[in-house]
Amino acid sequence: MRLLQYNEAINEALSEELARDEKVFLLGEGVGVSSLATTRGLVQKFGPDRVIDTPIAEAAITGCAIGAATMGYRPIADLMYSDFLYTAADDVLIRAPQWRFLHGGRQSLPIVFIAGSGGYRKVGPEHSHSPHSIMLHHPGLKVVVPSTPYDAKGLLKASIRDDNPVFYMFHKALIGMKEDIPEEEYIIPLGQAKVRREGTDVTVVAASYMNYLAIQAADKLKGEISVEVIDPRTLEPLDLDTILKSVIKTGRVVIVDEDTERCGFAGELMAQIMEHAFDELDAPIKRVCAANYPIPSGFLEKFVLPQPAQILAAIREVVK
Amino acid sequence: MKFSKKDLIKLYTNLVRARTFDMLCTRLLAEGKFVSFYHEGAWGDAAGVGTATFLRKDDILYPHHRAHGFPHMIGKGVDPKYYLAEHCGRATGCCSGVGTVHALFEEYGILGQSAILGAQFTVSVGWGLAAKKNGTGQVVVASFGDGTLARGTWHEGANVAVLWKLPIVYVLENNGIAQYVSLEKAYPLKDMASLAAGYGMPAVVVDGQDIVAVAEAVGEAVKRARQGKGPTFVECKTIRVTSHGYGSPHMVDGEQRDMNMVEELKKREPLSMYEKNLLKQGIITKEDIEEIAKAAKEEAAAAEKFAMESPIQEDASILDQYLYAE
Amino acid sequence: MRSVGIIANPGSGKDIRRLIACGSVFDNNEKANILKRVFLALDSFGIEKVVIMPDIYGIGYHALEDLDVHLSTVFLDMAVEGIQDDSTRAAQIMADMDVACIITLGGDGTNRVVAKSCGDTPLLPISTGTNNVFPLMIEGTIAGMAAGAVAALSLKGEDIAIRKPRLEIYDDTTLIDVALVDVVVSDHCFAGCRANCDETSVYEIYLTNSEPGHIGFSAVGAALTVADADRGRGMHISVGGGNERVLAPIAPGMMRWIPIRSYQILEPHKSLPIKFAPSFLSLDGEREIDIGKDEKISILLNEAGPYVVDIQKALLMARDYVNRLDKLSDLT
Repeated sequence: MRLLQYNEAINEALSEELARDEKVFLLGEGVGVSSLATTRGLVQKFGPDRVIDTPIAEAAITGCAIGAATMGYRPIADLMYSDFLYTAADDVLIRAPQWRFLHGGRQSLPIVFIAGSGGYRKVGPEHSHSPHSIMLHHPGLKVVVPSTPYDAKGLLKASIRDDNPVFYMFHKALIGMKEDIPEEEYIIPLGQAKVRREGTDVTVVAASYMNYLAIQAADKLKGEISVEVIDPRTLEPLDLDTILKSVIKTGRVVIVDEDTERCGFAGELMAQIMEHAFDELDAPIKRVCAANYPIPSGFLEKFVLPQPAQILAAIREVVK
Repeated sequence: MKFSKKDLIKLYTNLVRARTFDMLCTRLLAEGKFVSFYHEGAWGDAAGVGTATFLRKDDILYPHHRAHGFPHMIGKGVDPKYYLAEHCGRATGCCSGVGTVHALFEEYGILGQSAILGAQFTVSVGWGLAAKKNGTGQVVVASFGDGTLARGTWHEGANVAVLWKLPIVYVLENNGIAQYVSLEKAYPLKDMASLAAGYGMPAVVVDGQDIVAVAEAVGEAVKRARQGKGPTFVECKTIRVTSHGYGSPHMVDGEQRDMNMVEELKKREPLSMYEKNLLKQGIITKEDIEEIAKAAKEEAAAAEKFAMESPIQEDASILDQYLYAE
Repeated sequence: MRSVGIIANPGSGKDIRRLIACGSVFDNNEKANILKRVFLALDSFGIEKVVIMPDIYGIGYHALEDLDVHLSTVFLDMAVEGIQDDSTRAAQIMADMDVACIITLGGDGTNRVVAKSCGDTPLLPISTGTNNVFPLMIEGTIAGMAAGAVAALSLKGEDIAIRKPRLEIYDDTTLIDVALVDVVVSDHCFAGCRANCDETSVYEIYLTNSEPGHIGFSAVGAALTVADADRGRGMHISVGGGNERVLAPIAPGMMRWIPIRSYQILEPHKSLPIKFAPSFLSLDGEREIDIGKDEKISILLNEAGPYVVDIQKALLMARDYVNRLDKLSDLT
């Protein structure tokens, strides 16, 4: 065991997979330096043919990943910020997810799109998105949203070994989080939610940085309300069973989602819970999401992105 | 570059086959037997056949969308009946009836297409990179039209293709009209080869109605790519004598096309021009021509029969099966 | 004051020699730029009218865009097909209009098709092609000044230009085409990409002259040892076999050893039949004429080819003309 930071865990996963499989390669603008240090040092280890610096050309990066994947390679396309996926949306949301499907299911496209997501850094509306609902709207793309260093590593290794396009979104606000990481190799399969805190009064479903905030809320409410915190870890595939099991136990649900409330993942999950476990609910489901505004730069950010106080209030209200 | 008699006859035969399939596709669409569109390609088909006929089987080819790439795929050696069945939504289609206008013939280096124009520029980068990594001399050939070249993906793709010295041949089939917009309304220049030259990519302009000229230019470009000398741009000047797609308005820049001008263009019909030369050079005889035409008709008829007798793809269980690889 | 004709070929500088011989793409916007500089020089000489061949790219139109000149420009009223024949027809019309000279923008091929019909009208060929033996590597402004002098002083070909020879191609007794630099007989059977840079295909080379400094198969002539007096004369070379070989630049960047069987001085007005058929004739670097088995094709050197403006001489006359013009304007 050693204590690794969230981005170090990502770096280690990349490094191990590049070493394990020569078909794996990494490309993106500035991967040789890496603004969030996720890919730092890899070019020195694996050389410029495996860790490829590109121009600022997202479409070239993602298109290249699709092409190489259809020829048996396992590209990791680094988009730096998940907001930038829109510049290559054609590839990320349409081409990659649909390619296998449209061509009669004969191919596999093992691609990882990797990017930092989320706000809480006051860097404004074009560097703070959590665009997972957009991704979920495009069947064929898996969506991975790790909330801890341990998960970040295990899920990334699973993503790289998956034979399908995966959008791996790590959260910028979690970069400094540290956790004990085993020396030996481990993999966390996609599609397995994790119960982070066991509880009996209310289920809080929250992924990525929202999970970190939800755990803090649960700890704060200790003695007052028994909160069960579930981390879906991957949104596609989604481990609905684990969530439903918890809902049956508690009868009350709060969903915390950093994405914009309107047409977001929280609304989708609410619908799914009601479709599958309406009779188990003792109260209407509450959601805490980003308000329906662009994410402001600077100090106004807190009026749009979900805040700890809102999570506490929602939990208290739902158990009333 | 010189071609043997056998090569020249192969070009001719493939052009006849491509033309026959174009006629067949047009008819099947008109008869309501296609589940997709059809964008006719006759008179502009020499470029595709000339481009693809002498490629290696393992070379990667992105077919043009016009004529839905039949000229390219026939040139590459695939059996067109599976692609025809695909257009008819049949389970025997090359994409099992899910893709309709998409083609997949992996063993012939046709690894899929996108119906969103401009994908070939960036996806080719990945193919080129993989080909370079494979180190077996594979070459990527990307075909596209003048309309597609206006996409920003061209810049993103061409830029890194040159930078990384990828074995890619970009073949532009410039017919002067992008769907309903003329080249004049789309570009401040006429020869797109100048755009490629700006990246330091060797670029050549050839008569796209002259199938031998296309084969020669693409052949030289492929040779460069195989030798590791990087990408090349081949601009084939071709024509469009039909509307954009079968049944769509025969208009350009908001107006009906000048049919006198279209008739003028038709004089540059590539098959008869080539045929005349072959006869003059004594490479084929009138009897050969009849035989080739007859064989092409039989092939098309058999393909139609195969498509029509194949089951319609209505098995919903494949949706799950095709969505994700296990 | 006579007018100046302009024929700019939008197709020059784009053929396959960019792939096989490190040629550069000659962009049509650059041709328009050259033409702008020609117009500005002509304008400063007070030339009143310029006659321009329309072309599919619109080089002339682009050149005139945002250009502040007084001279009037006339585009020939002719159908543009985007083929060689455009230039031939344009040259014919300009010769009939009695323009003082025709400025061409293109390579050897462009000038060849212009020379077919320009008669005694002097040419001022600016090189924008690939293999350039006939046209001059000359700045547009200088070309404009020289042409300006020819037009302003209404100079005739014999006063201001040098007469160049041409090779004439006859089908039996009918003149079917001409070449200004060379005719190459090869074993190709298709025009294909037209440019001929394959030395292994060549049977014979006919040259209008064997001056050093040529590029293309005509360079083989300069590489052969001949008497100084014979340098300016035509030549007929049989390629292949033999004991001799010469190193020659057959295209930009393509240095090739060419085996020589025999060669001889080509006497003017002496017809030589092509012995190889079927074969292909390349005229000034481009495959043009396919010869069937029973066709009787022959080559003849004619010293009376096109006039080409003597730039040095024209510029000296231009100087005198401008000085005179300047004095006149002082008086008024």
